[in-house]
Amino acid sequence: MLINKIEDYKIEGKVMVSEGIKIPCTEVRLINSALIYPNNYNPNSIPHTKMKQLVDSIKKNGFCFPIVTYFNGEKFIIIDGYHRYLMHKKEYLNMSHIPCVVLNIKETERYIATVAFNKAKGFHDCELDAKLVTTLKGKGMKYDQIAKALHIELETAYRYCQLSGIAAEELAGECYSRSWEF
Amino acid sequence: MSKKIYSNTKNVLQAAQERVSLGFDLFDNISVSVSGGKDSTVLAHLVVQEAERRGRRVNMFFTDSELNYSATINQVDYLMNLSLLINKVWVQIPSVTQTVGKLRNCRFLAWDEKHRGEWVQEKRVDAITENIWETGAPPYGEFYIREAYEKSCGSNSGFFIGIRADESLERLKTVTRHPALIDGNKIKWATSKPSNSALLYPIYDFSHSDIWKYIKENNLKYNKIYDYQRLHSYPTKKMRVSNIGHQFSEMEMQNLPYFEPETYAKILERVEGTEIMQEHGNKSSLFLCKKLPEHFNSWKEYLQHLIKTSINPDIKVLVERFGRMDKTTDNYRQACRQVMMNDVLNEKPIKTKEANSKDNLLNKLKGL
Repeated sequence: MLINKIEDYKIEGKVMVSEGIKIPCTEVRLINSALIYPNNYNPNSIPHTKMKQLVDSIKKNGFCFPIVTYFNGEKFIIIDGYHRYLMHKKEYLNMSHIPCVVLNIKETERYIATVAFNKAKGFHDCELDAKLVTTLKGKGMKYDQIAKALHIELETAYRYCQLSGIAAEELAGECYSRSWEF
Repeated sequence: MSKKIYSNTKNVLQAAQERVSLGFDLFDNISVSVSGGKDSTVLAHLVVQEAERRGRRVNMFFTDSELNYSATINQVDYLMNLSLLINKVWVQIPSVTQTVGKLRNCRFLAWDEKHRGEWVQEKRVDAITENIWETGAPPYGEFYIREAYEKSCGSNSGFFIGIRADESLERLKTVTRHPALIDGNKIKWATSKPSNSALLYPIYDFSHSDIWKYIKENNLKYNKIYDYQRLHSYPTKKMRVSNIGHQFSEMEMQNLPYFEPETYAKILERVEGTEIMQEHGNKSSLFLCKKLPEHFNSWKEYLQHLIKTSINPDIKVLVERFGRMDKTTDNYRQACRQVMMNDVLNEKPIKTKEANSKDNLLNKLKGL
């Protein structure tokens, strides 16, 4: 399970299969971060604030999602989870080993897998986000606590709580302007 | 025409009420156009108030091109039911619009019978769903439908429309180039129409804050999309509601999955090319053509490449138009944008050597 050098890695694994579906996350390996390399094709980027949120979440909830890699005979290359991989760095969590699953798939399939991992996800419904924030507010959390916990700006937290009737409330003028002709 | 002359005695509301009242005095048939946006909400309310005062019936006109927010449909429904004096003219005729995403065929046919069951919004029992105005062979663009409707109203008709100058002073100047002259009354804030009729713009001098003040003061419902846009920090001027499939509504498409996930899911099924609009519609080097893609040296070179590789059968229309344009860098850039936006109808004009406006109109009339 602990992999410090490539000889420690044996392709023969015992990935659990359930109802015909492979479950690679049942065979997680802790791989030395020196053996893991980013791929050179992933177009996904992540802002600094989201990295902080990731650090926070891993500190609180643990490393719940292993990164996905493939083994090319020399090193482990990331298919998905570059930003979780970065957690090994000093400025984040300073981890010597990163939990990984290793897939044995062909090159084109890797590209496709990367895109699928990045993109096959939902949109956050604006109103549901707002409801969630309002619920937290209702349970006694203060605006600044909510903003800090959810890693959103204080302004965003305020706005979410103001969802109903805001346009008319905020944008109406004090009095009507003077009429004009042309 | 060049500058604004401010009144010392009247605010915009008083002036608008007087203008609406004058419209009722001068015209036998009164009609108000609505879009579900904030401006037409205010206008519709002003007109309905006057109709109630006088006990007169008014037409309320809405062209429903299928690709609408549910919030917009709810808003129009609310407006149409403001008074029993309203004749509902909710038009759901199969009509054609250009859409950005579709490449092989950039014309989207709303309410296409072949796609019954996939329609983004539902057909209504109270809507006009078949062409009753007989203006030639279908399918029609929105332009046709408007014209046909105006004709069908008969002579001496006043059509109230919610155009505002702070939206575009240019647009106001253009549309009031031929002001109306009715029974010796010259109405500057209007466009003359045949048979003693006119398009009327009584809230032209309202600002944003006037609009919102009126909505708040009269406790009117308004399109929920504005609240979402506010949440998403849209600048006040960008807060607008338009047809989602329209070729200049990149921003709308981008935020649609967050605002109305169900509407987005339906449009995704219904209109090819929706996905890339949603995901990259706002990227400066793609549809907006603000930034020249790296591997090209000039907008001209990029335009040639786009034309050469286009799979849009209407590209001929564009190439012909580009032949007549002034060869400036900015025009090349605009031309690239027209190709990217499938702008066959020339709704995003570029400078051509000949006068463009007549050309523009003819293109539209030739239609889709």
